[in-house]
Amino acid sequence: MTFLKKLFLLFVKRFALSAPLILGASFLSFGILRLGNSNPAILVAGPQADAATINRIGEELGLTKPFLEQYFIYLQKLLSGDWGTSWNSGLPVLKDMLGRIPATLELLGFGLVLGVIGGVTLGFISAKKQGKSFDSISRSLSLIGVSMPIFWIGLLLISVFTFNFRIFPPPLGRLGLFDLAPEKVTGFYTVDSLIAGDFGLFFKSLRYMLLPAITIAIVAGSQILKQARASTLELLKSEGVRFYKSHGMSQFKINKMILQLASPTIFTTIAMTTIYALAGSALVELIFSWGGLGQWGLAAITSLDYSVVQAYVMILAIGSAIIFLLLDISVALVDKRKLQ
Amino acid sequence: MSKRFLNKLLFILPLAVIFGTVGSVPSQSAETSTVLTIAAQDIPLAFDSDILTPGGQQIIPQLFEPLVEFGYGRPNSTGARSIDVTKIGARLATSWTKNSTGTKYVFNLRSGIKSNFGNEFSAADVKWSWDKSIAQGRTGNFLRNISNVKELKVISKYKIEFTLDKPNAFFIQVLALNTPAIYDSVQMKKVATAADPWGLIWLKSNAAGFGPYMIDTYQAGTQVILKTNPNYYRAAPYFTKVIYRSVPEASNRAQLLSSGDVDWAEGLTFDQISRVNSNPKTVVRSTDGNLQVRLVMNPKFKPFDDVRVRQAVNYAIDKAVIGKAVFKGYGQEMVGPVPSGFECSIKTTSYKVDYAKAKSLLAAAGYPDGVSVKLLYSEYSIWDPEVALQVQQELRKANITVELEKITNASIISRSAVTTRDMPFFVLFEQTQIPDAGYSLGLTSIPTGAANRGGYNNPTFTAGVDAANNISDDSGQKLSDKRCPMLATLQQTHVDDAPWAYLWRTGAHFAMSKQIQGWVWRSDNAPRWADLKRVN
Amino acid sequence: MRIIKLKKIINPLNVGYFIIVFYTLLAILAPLLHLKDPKQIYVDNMLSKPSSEFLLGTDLNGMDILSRTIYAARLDLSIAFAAVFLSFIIGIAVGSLIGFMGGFIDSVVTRILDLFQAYPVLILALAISGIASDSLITVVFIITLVDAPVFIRLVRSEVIKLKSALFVESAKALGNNDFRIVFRHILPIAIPPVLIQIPIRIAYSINIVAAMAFVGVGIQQPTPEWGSMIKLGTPYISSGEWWMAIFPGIAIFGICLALNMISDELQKKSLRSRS
Repeated sequence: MTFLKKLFLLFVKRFALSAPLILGASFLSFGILRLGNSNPAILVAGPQADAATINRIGEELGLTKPFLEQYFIYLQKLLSGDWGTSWNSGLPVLKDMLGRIPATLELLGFGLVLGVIGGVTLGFISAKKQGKSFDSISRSLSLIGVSMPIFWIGLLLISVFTFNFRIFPPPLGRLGLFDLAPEKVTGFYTVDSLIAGDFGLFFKSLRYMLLPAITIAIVAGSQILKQARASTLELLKSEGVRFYKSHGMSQFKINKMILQLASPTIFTTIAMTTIYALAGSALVELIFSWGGLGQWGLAAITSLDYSVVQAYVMILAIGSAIIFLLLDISVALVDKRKLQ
Repeated sequence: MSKRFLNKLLFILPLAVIFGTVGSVPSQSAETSTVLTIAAQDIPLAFDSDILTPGGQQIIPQLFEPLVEFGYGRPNSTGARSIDVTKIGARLATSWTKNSTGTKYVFNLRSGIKSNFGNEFSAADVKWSWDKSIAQGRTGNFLRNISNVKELKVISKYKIEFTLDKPNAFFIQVLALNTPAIYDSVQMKKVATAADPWGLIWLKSNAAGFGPYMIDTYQAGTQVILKTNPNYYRAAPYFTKVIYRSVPEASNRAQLLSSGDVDWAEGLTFDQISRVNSNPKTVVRSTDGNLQVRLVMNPKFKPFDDVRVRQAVNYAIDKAVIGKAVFKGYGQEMVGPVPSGFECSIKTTSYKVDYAKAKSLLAAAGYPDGVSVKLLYSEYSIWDPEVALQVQQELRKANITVELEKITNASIISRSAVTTRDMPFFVLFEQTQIPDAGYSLGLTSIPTGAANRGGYNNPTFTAGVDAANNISDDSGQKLSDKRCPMLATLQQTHVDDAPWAYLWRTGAHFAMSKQIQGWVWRSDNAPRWADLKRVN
Repeated sequence: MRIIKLKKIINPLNVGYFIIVFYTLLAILAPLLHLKDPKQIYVDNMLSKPSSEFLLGTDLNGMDILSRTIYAARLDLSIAFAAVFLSFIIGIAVGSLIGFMGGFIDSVVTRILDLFQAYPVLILALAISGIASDSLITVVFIITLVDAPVFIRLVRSEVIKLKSALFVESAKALGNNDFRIVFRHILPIAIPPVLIQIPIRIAYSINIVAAMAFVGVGIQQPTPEWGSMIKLGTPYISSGEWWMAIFPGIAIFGICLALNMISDELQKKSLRSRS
């Protein structure tokens, strides 16, 4: 069947598989409010609300109704775009959240790109040079990267590069305190500043992004390195590769083939690492005051602003589903090229 | 394009990006000298002086003008001036008269003043603003009650009459506070609706007043930018623009101040304050202030229902240790419930640390083997967690086992509100805006007191406070002669009854660039930016 | 038929084992080591640099970082061990049950497990922890919640692989009831591959406990815990008192490194025995 048709079926399949994930997450985010001893209405209305407001919100939530009915009310609200209001900031949650997504995407994207490039390259080369010092060094690096807690790596990097060597700016966010953000097109400061032609701002936003991105890259890259190396090793030893090698296929073509054969596994690892990085990047955002979803969600968790917590849980589920969709597409794309 | 060229590009491009990123010189923030930049803790959620949100206390006084003002004292060694509450000066009110019984005041108001919306100030604005506060039933209303105001009457366009149901010792001083704020009622009536008769929704992101500044841009949670009100009736402030920007972490705020990126940093810890002082470009200006750190014990809950237990807690804490450990030597011990320097404040015989005495008091109260309590704290004041830890360590020495429990900042405020008051034992600041012992005790220690967070209710004490406050007299001398003996007894009673543990008076310490001068300490602990100027 | 003997795959000379034993001994013997009281406030020595009296320095409250780091090991390690142990038991119980039974229950549970795998569960742990109480048991419970699905899934897949093996068929033919089959025949072979996952899960659990404390939920002051110590030390990175945040991080790094090394070793050896 045609490639487009295959892609469409993939979308449908992934959608079908994601639906329970998102539904499950919605049930979870609904249930979180009702877990503890606190009155859910207070978690939503905030502890400073007066009794009248708390009662009103309690009615809106349907607290007197049976459990399942409350859940349906919640689903209805979600689908109609009413994701609640943060009592901490007074802003509607959905709008606030959508505004912060680009910040997180930009950071996560940049960090993952660095991690993937570093991890796959190093992993591949390590496998080819198995046993030599390059291999041992990169394996040790990978081991170290996996063993350090991500928030500590961030602090370490800040301590050394920002305050010791003074190369990078202090962890105040995406730009300096009084810098003006570029005209919003995508919400990515790097892209938008290029579109606006402001190269100074472009480099500035890169400067602020580099340290947190490297933090993410270290953790993600270490895991990817491990998998890339393992897959490559396995393929190098495989019958097929040895066959082609003995028949004189060029090194370049063999490398390309190995990468293609390994990609499903590597892509899967990248997807799993990205899911893990969704949580890790939240901690990084916290340390660097990044202003994205992660910092927002974590701050809401500690201040008990539960409309925001619910939204955060939901958006992560949606993000995960999208990541798996991208995974499927990538694997399909590579398959397509292989067949050609 | 040849493959070689592409390969070269693939190498050079990332290198160029990396070089450009790391090598680019950090640009100086575009700081004009007439722009004041502030690294703030919080951005207010509304500009309503009756509904205080964090950050509101700092911004609202800039937007509104009071009827009268306190005089200024002389600068101290750190270059700071304090208010002098014995001198009352004219602002929106030019002069006033009082009847012989002290129950009717008539104020002559200034003519020809316009708000930032261009509407002229008149007595109607004062009446509207007070009606609003009374209707909301919050801070403004409390102030109205404690100053015994019964009603306001507009006599003419520039004359308004306040009727009190009893004489009051500090009514005029209440008028110097920023609540009830005076709004431009013409504008407010335009934005009011049937469902929202006082325009509270509009006040969430706007303000209409007669103060030196007006809102330029407002981004909830991020920043407020103020600019000068072109219609302000006094001399235009030096700073034409003020950028009030939220920077959540204290260490970041300190960092920005020391690097010169901001002129002013709020909410620093005491070791950061020491560092700011040692930096040649920055300075901390300090006055005694009115902020007190204390533990509140609610007598409704065991074991704090027994006065001996409360006294034991006081004996079992070495205040000097807390002063040194948490406040690094800044500030002083509390002399009692009312800070020294307040009108009629005395130095009470408070509790010298004596762990043995604490233990014997506990035994007498029925706890010979000590007692277990839970201490609630938050991060409302930056030092609260440290204070809680020190208190836990100190009380251990008198066999009082303290379990610490941290709650959110919003929680501790709401749970200590007069409608709830369900915390037996907690750490929370105390701050009285009128430097008067009678006002302070009325605010913090009688059942109707808006800041009576521990539910202290002693009928004789309450009667005494009311008696001391509901008198007035023309000449200041006679008034304090009448009130101070009464208030002295009341302060000592408070200490003997020990509803609080009297820990530390922190002092007011404001960190700013050395170029910023003119700061005056005020009892709401908010600077008035119109006072400030930059001197190079 | 693939039988993996545990003895073949543990290399007693791996450095990782030494490190873990070192940590465990330190944790257990802490009270005997003449350390300073981890909650004692030294008012005259707040924020002091590492010195001969305070080997790793003191924190902003005046508490000794060395003793707090070691006492934190007790807390973090016991929570991680307890949670992983519980998850392991639950994994065996539930995993073997649904793997063997199959059918509707199996597909439902598997679906739920898929959700856990496809989601950043750290965030879930944080969100739940924010509302739940701060007690130790709650923390253990939350981490078990995160770990158990992994074990259930592992046991289940092993049991399914073995379900149709020849020796199981013969056991059935001999008239053994299901329960006996699972217990005496399947599990002894299914469990070793699951055991191999334990070190890495412990490392993961330690990370979650620390992350929870770092964010501000979970373990609270003044209880010494690596994550909350790092949290306290974060503002002081900029002012130069780096020791507060760095040393506890090194502690976490050490034990996780050891656990990862062991895990790598176990994986390698088990792969070798299989081929």
